[in-house]
Amino acid sequence: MILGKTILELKELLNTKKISREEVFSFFEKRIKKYNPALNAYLTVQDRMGNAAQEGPLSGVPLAIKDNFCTKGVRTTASSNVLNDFIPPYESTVTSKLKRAGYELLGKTNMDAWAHGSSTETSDFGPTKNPWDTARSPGGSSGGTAAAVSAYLAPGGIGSETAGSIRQPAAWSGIVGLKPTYGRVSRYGVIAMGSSFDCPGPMTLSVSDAAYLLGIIAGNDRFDGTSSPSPVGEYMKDMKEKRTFTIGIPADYFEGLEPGTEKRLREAIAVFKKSGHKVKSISLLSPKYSISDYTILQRAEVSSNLARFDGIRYGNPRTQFGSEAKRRIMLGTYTLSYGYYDAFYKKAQKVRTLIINDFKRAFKEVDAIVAPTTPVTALKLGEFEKYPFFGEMMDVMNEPGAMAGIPAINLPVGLDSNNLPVGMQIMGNYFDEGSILNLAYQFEQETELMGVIKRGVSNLK
Amino acid sequence: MSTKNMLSKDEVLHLSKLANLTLSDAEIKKYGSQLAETIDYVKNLDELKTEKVAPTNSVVDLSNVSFEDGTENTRGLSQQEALSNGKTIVDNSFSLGRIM
Repeated sequence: MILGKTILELKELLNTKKISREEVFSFFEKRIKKYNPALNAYLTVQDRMGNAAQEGPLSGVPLAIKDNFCTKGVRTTASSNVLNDFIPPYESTVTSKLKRAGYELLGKTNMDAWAHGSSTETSDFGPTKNPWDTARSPGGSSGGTAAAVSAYLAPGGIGSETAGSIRQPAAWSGIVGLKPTYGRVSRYGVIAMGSSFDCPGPMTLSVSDAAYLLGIIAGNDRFDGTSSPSPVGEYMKDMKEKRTFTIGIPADYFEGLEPGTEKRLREAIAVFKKSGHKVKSISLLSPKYSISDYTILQRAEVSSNLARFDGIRYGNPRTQFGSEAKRRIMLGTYTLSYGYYDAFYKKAQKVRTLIINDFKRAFKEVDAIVAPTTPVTALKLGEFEKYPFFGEMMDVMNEPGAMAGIPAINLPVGLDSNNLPVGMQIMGNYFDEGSILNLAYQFEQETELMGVIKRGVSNLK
Repeated sequence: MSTKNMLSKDEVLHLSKLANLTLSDAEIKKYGSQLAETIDYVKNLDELKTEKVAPTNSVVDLSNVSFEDGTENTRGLSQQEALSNGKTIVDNSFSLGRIM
């Protein structure tokens, strides 16, 4: 009765008293006990209810939270040994809002250490396995939440994205992942990676669930000076309005795709055409520049953000940093240091302006941009070492949007010949989550392609 | 942007000092070549003309945000909370090594 139910479906069952809150929590608790040892999706599991701050719309609904959101009294590690015993004395804004909405915390999910990576393999606590094929990676950095939701060890969860960390694991694990506009959701209490990029967002089994959770976690926060005062949309209502879109297809994003990925993307685009949307090809600045630009800016922000971990007030000494974190800190220190600042950091901030202007120009012509989320489907664990710049290569289609700060959603659009989920993303204009959710919802209603999600839930039996 | 195939040991040690990281000899060598490789890669930004472009400060055009005077502090930690994760607490203070 519970298996595979979305958040909204669980709410309905709870509201009509067909199931009790205890039954729901205990269902997931048992499932986590059974399957988590094989998947390593959760690092910390809650064995009892009682997390809710008050009664609310999420009362009785349990969620998985990425382990870089500070949860008061519950260990939060960012998957690093530096924080392996850190118990936050305060709560992140996102989880505070969820607590006020009545949610139950199932546990904290694995990630690449400090969110540095796209596979969860940089976690100091071992990689997470992809429920579609446990020899493969679920993607990352929010791979723990992605695997937990995909395998139904949670009906939904929260991830965070700097550049691809929600969309890419959602694509590889076959679920919905929404990266909101930068500033739409507060970063307060989220262990910072790249502060000018980081966006918390929902990872769910349906578009409606993503819209629903976004409505709860979005909004201006006085504890985050970069959170936006722009009003929060009525996503659930707006999503169901029948609208016709002009959709842009950027040619550069379709280069170098695996044949299975390209085939599914072409099918999905045909669905949009059939539904009456206008599809046109557009040109965007090549994503290859975003890789370089992102590499410079993100490493600079990483070196600055990780400077605070001195092992004095909390956490362990800096000797506990893993090799990826050290590599990033070193590069960021280089590009920010005397003599190199103008050549690297300042140049990169100017290129970022070009990327932003490029998207602003595109959104004068189109309402949404559709592209693959990743060039390939889930890779095997360990395969990553063959790819220099692995994270950047896997996130090449996510970095431009992340640089610009625009919102985007990943939708599963079928399987490739290896029976692995293929992800498509819809990018939207600033603070126009309403439009991408609307288009995504139409797509979900009009095709069977997203049946992938239901199949994923039954992967483990 | 200048290119080198490898950062010298002194350059890597200088960076590690700035970053307060202790590196092994193997790491010094590894990062020396990996950093140089990355620096070489990102040079492709030079293909883009940016002389007349302003650098980005905020992607969503926000400027300074500050609290009103007299705003109630609702997120302060108690002394006990602030010290709760410290490993070298002496007399309700963080105890540190000598700096000078």
